[in-house]
Amino acid sequence: MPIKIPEHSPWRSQVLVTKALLRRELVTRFGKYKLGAVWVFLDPLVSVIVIGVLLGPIIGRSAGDIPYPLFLLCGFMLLTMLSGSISAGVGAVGSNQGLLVFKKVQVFDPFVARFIFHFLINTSALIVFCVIAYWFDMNISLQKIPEAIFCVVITWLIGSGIGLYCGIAALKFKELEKIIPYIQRPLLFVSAILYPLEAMPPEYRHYLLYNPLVHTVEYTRMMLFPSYVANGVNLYYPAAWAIGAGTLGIMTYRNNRHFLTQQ
Amino acid sequence: MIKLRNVSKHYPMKGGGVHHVLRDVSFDIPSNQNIAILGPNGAGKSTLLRIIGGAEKPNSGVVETEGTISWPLGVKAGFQGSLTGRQNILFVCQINGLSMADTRKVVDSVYDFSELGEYFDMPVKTYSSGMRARLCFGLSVNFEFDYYLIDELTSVGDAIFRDKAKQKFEEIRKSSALIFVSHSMRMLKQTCDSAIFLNQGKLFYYDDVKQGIKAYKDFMQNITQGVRT
Repeated sequence: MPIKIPEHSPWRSQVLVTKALLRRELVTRFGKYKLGAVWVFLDPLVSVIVIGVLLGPIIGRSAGDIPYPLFLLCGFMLLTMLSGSISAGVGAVGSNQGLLVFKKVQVFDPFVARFIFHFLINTSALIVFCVIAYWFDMNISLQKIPEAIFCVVITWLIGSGIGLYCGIAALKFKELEKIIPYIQRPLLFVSAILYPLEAMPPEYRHYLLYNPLVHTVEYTRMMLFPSYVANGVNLYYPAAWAIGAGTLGIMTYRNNRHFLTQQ
Repeated sequence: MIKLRNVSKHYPMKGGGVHHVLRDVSFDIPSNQNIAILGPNGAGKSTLLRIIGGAEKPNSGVVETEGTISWPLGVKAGFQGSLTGRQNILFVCQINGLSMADTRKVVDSVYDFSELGEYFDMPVKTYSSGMRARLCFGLSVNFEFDYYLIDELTSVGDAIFRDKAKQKFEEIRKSSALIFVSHSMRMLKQTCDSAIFLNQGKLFYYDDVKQGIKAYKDFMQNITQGVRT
């Protein structure tokens, strides 16, 4: 006997679709690797080890009494929050095209699911790293973990807003798929990931402070390492960015929602 | 009843022109008939199904629907290539909020109907078009829809699948309406009551499917004659 599809409220329906898409992300992201979900932790660790071995001896001392690998890891996790969200947005529609044929799956849903997925895996990785560092007594404090998570959320919101915008723009202009990774690349060097803000000459510091990622990266370090100092950073500036980027993304979606349903 | 009110749909073309699929179309699709959709290639038959199914939005106008409508059942659409057949089926069950028991029932039933064997756990992108059609059809007959949108589903697949599909259609058409896109006139004559002829953004309705097919054939003949002379 055929099954009658049960009726659901719009909110319940939204939750169901998002959950199904999250499961779908989980399957395709890790299903193909032998190590599976372990890559959530390996990805940032590999970057830290490679960069740490190369640059550790040269600029490692500038991080003060924080172990340089931990310093790097913190920066990398926040950078991934931003640039990973942008990349997630750029591929969102293309890799879910087959599922958009269902009326319940709107074009907005793959974006939301991918952003949430990205947030969940990276935040859990960050928390696990912090707990491990704490366990080994590595000069880290867990007192202000909520504040640190708040920095992560702001960074993620900026990335998601830009990711939504870029994802829609890349559907109109294919070339953006190629260009966006190049534009993101310098972020590694201008976001205080590899070195602390205090290590920069004071006359150039205020240029770096235009970058919202510098604020959230340095603020997170201040929250995790009590002895760490970064002058001039605050959370209002990146929070304003998050609101701006989110508005930009949602407005772009709203204005293009009819175009987006075309294959 | 599915109501189209002043619906227009057009696509931008590479050269800067615009391709009109529907121009200000107002039409009520009756729910008590099986309807064939006819038209030359590129007339927008699949697009019309996607608009009715709610997957695509018209540029202007509104589509009002009553009752449950399937997604367009076809070879091309409906499955994510990177997921296996089973995962795709689970996805559809999940977005519709089916219970665990129902989900298991659906998965088993699709597994039996589609006869995909080991391919059921292979990514859909490795399927032939006939296998995709079997999976798609096997899934859709598990749900109760008031309208079934069928996009060339039966023109692929082997004789066994076609026989099975025909049998199922006979069952379905008793309780639901089929909206059928196909280039097989024999199939359309057998299953449909009335016809819509879609051409250059306009929609013509024929009470009798035979009339519709005749009009379509005449039109196509005129074109080929026009080319010859």
